[in-house]
Amino acid sequence: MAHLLRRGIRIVTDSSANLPEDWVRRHGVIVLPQRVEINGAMLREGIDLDVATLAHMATHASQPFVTHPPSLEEFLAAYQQLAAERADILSIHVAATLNGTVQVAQQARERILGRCEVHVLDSRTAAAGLGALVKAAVRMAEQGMPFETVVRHVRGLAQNVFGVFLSDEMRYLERSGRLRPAQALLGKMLNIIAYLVFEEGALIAPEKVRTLEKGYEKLAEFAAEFEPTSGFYAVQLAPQPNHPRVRGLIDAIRELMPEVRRVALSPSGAALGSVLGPGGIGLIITAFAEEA
Amino acid sequence: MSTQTERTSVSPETSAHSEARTAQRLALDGRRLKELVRAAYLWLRQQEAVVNSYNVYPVPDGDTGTNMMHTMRSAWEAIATLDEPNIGAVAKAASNGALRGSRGNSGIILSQLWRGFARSLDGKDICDAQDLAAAFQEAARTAYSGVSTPVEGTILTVARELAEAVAVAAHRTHDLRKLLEVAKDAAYDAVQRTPQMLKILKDAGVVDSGGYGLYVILEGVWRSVNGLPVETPEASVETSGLNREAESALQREGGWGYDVQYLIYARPGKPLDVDQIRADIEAMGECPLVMGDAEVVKVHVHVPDPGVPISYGARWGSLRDVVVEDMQAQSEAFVPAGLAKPVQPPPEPELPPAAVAMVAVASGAGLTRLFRELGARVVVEGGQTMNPSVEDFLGAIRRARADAVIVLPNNGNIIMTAEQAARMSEVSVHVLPTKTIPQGVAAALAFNAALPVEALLEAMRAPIAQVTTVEITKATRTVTLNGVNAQEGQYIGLVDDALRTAGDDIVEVTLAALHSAGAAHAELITLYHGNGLEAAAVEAIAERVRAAFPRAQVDLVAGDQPHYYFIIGVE
Repeated sequence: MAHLLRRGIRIVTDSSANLPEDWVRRHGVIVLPQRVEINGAMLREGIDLDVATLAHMATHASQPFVTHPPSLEEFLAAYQQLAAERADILSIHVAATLNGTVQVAQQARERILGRCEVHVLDSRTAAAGLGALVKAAVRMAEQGMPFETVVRHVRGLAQNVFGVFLSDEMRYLERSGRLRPAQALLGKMLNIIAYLVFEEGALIAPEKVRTLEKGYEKLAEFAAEFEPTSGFYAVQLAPQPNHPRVRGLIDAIRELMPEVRRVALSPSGAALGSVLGPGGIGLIITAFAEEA
Repeated sequence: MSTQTERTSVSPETSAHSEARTAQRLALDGRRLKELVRAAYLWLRQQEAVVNSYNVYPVPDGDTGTNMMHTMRSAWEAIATLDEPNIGAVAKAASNGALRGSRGNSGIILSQLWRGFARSLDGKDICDAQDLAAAFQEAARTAYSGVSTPVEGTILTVARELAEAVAVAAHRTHDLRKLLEVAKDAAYDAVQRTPQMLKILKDAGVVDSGGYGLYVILEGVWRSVNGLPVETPEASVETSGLNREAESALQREGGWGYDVQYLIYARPGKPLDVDQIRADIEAMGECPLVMGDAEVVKVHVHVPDPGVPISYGARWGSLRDVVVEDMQAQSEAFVPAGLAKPVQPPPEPELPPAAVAMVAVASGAGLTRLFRELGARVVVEGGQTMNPSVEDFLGAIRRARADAVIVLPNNGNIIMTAEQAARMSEVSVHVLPTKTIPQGVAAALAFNAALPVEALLEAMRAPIAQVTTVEITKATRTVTLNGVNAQEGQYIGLVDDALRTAGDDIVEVTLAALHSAGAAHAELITLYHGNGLEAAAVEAIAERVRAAFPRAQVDLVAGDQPHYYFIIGVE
């Protein structure tokens, strides 16, 4: 196989993973920026726009922000650089249900086929879920596993990442197509909170609750289905430990699962945030052993 | 009253010598039954307001007389054009009509009485004394078996006791006219004793309204048999022993002017705004009913000047099936033929088929919209003021076009009607016994068409018990119940349908009812505000509720429901 001639496996992802900059540099991961359209401007996530600024702008913007995937050129540049280094490329991205990143990656892959091996993987998640998959891929690659094995394992791990969310941001839910316009109107009438879940790659809103307390309970009940040793992440556009919604969620989890040691905070990233809105809150669970 | 029998001649086909002839024939045929049904219906219509006045709760709903009248009207309409000598066939047709048109719990029980009555007469050309006694008994038996927990002191007791009395009398006489009088008198006696059998009637100072309605039906029959009029208001003095303050309500009837009905068909490119039309029609007159969609809207309203709603409708689109009736003239000279042709409901566009659908009952533009947005495929207009009929439900279930239909009646007096429709429907219908709007909203929130039906029913049923319902309205009469004294016209607060508070200040009454409903420990209080309150007053009351129950999230929703200033969900 070709990989005998290759010099290793390199990982490409996007800014939704919210990985620390020095870690990214140390492991040679390429992170392409999501574009955030807000207040008439087009900003690059993680470059022109940090998490706190996005949250601040979103809270005050008159229109919900939307995201666009990294450009085809950016993908091609990244793939060509790695092709020149004779690497096999695993390109893992934010859930295709959130925006077109996976699609653009596929287009770039088609352009470059024959010059190097590129596998584009829809993580079917975002934020800390995507981050955990990237870290696992890097670890396996650094352990010298063959490309096909790494791809297969990461794909398997992706099946064990779960996400459940609450959002009362009807404009965001409606704009992102998660609620029919009529339901969004209903949300305004009844102060409805949508309960959203990643299911088979799609982020759907199968249920509604009337109070945040009920919502936290539902998220905690969802969490209680997992081993306490799983990774638990409270997800918000820019989560702060003292934010009432973050505390409400963590308290509900602690009450139901006192043995959970840690609920980490994870910024949702713009792509997931453009569905949940600045007020949305949720939980991502990685039901596999992550390395510290 | 029994002295009447001696001197009054019997109906058109009999004469002064009728006593002997009737005694010889001892029979009742299909044509004669048809006449009696018409008389019973007309008399009940005449007495509708009186029957309505025997409502245990002093609230403007649960109108037993109206429900029974509609049920009898439907029985009559089913036979109005029949010319059939076979009594079994006429009884069966009337029974089917009663069943389809039955509304409310009393209407359902009345339709069950009809079912047993017709079954007993099935295949018979004529009915003699023994047949009549058997038919009354079968009627009572069928009605009892149709109720899961029969309660004595209700229409059931009246039906049973009159059947027993007729059975005993049938040993002594074969005179049907006498037996019908026995039936009427036994019904009257049983009605009089209902307060002894059912404490809540005694507390409220009323007789059982359904039982009284059945008495009125038999009285109408008896009047017809004895040649007494059944269509003039003066005749109501006959029942003055039971009438009391309802007399005044009766006087009001007929003062409404014109009954106007029509369909508006949208002009191309000019869709109809149902909510706008409803709001405008509601402002025009009494008993407004506006249903439909962007293409066809049905309008029904009582107004002093029929020209107003008609020219209004013509501005929206082209009018069809316009019916204008002078209600004054109608009550003076009733034309049965006109009643046999109700306006056809507007043809609704067909929905795409679905695996599972939700059908909900609501009244008021806001509540109707709310249930639609909660995912109800069809919202049946009705509730406190107008209970939908079995046929209304069957139509809604058909329009929902689903393999399984989940029905939310949202009113205790509508559950039996929905269940009856469920038994008659060709598709699988599940009635969730929601007794109030907040219960219905809680259940509807859990609606998810992607779930398998059994799981969905489970998910929707669970939240019903979590909600306590508070309703704020005005007392329609003075009453003392549960130790609460309410003067007519005062605000009253009901908690899960029981009277809890009364007073002159709507804020105090609302807060007291909420306390009684356990709002101090609630997480969520939803105020559905109805017609009849200014926006500023609604806001002010909501603020007081927020201040009184700081732990709860307080949501304010425009329900636009009639009669109830507030319907409140506490959970």
